[in-house]
Amino acid sequence: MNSYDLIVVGGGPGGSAAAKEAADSGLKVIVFERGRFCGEKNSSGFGLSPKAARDFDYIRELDVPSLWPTKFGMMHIVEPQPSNADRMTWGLTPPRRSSYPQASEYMVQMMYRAEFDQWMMEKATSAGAELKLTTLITNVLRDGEQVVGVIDNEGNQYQAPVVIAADGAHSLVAQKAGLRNKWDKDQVTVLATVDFEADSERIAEYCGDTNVHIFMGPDRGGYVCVFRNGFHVGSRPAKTLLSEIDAGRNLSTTSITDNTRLDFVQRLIKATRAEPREFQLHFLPWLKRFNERIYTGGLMLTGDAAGVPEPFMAEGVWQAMYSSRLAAQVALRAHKDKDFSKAYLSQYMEELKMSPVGVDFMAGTELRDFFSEWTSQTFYDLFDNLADAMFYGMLTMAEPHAQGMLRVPAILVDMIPQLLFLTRYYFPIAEEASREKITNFLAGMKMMAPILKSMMPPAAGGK
Amino acid sequence: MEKHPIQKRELVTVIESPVDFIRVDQEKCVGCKNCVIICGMDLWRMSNGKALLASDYKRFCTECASCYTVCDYNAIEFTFPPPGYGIVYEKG
Repeated sequence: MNSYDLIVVGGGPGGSAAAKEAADSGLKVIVFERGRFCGEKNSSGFGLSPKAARDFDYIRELDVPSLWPTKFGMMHIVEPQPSNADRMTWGLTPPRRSSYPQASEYMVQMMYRAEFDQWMMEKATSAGAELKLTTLITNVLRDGEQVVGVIDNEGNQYQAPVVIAADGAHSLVAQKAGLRNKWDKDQVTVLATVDFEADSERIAEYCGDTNVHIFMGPDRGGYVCVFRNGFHVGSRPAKTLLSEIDAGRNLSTTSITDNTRLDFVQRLIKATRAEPREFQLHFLPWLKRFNERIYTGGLMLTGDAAGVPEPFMAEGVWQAMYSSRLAAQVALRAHKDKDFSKAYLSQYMEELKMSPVGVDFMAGTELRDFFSEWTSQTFYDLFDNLADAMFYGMLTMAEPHAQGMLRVPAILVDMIPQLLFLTRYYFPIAEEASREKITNFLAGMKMMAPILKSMMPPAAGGK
Repeated sequence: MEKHPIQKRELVTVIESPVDFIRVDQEKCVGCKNCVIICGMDLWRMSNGKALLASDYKRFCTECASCYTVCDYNAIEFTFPPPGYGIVYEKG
């Protein structure tokens, strides 16, 4: 029997972050990856957010050939089908106001997953973790209710007092450990992506600083992520599998060809002489509420296996890294206290729930519902009116300016239904967020109370 | 006409699995068509009121497990191809 201090299932960014953390602290760690290389089974979705560099020192040294930090991104409101034109387009630089430096330097870091996942795993193996590629973990070893190891597809057994399952959305470990049979149709989404091959010099010349495009319109949506040596056209109409089934068609995957037909995408394809290279389907959890069933005796689920992608845009890589490192820290504590019980590992779930990963779920179900509405007719109408207020009203060259200006109030009145629609989502989300702030504020005041008291002069009549 | 209609099947690299990794239980299938609707590679169709998986699915399946997820009757069993086989994403 092969024995380890910690078994990590899955060699994505989550698995690597867990393995590095544990190996750095001297644990004997093994990572199992079913691909022949890390990233072979993964698609990038939408790059790495600056939160990763904030929270992981080593991400600041990230260096892979396709890496391109986003200094400028474009937002496109596209017209309803069958048009391929933009109704309104605007560009964005990283925010001037930000709570840490990287958030002002770039919006997201674009790179291919095969490169990133292998770079991450190199961090884990240099820290001493053992990597076993081309190995599919199909079951868990049990001692009563306690998970005490894993079994691969050839029947080989590996033992460890604690297992971290970072084995993706369709986690076999989660299923075999009885934590989940399958996701509900309303808890998952699928994106289609086409990678285009293009010459890096032409990309640099045509794109300049712009390496991200987000687009949305009625029943259509997606993104273009440009890497140094190619780009992805992705389809993200913000539907769950349930809503796709209800509508009787899978817009997430059928709309990919339509997305490549959009005018701005065609311009990019033609200018860079791009050719389609690879088609990908990216299946991921998109939960409305924080998933608490992510641990049992001897086992913690992390990343997509735990359903941590945030409920708005379903960003998941930083969440995978954060949850996995936290699980590794809990595993280290468990080793110190020699307690791998379900009760002990519940602290992983509790801490994750209170962490920045869990906080994103505090707005309840509103966040995800709101994002789904971004590809609605109402949302489109809002920008349609806004565009008219700007260019038929204020900046008109079709009529005398004063006449154009006079049109603005009427357009604003037309916008009232759309503004009311926005507030329907905005206020519940803001209410949750401010409630949280008030709780923190009150907790802070409570802690400060003794200090404030000690600073106060003694009451009259005192000693 | 646009330059590139997307030919999904020509754009996936799949090392064909020597064994089946998706199985359909014809007894449990009620013919609801959920799998037919959801498959992004169009690998399912209806035959005599039951779901039928394409005979060459092992050459095109991207292992997303959507079919397994949307089956309300647990008629679809999904694992993964043996390691070393299945979908290859070089530029994921």
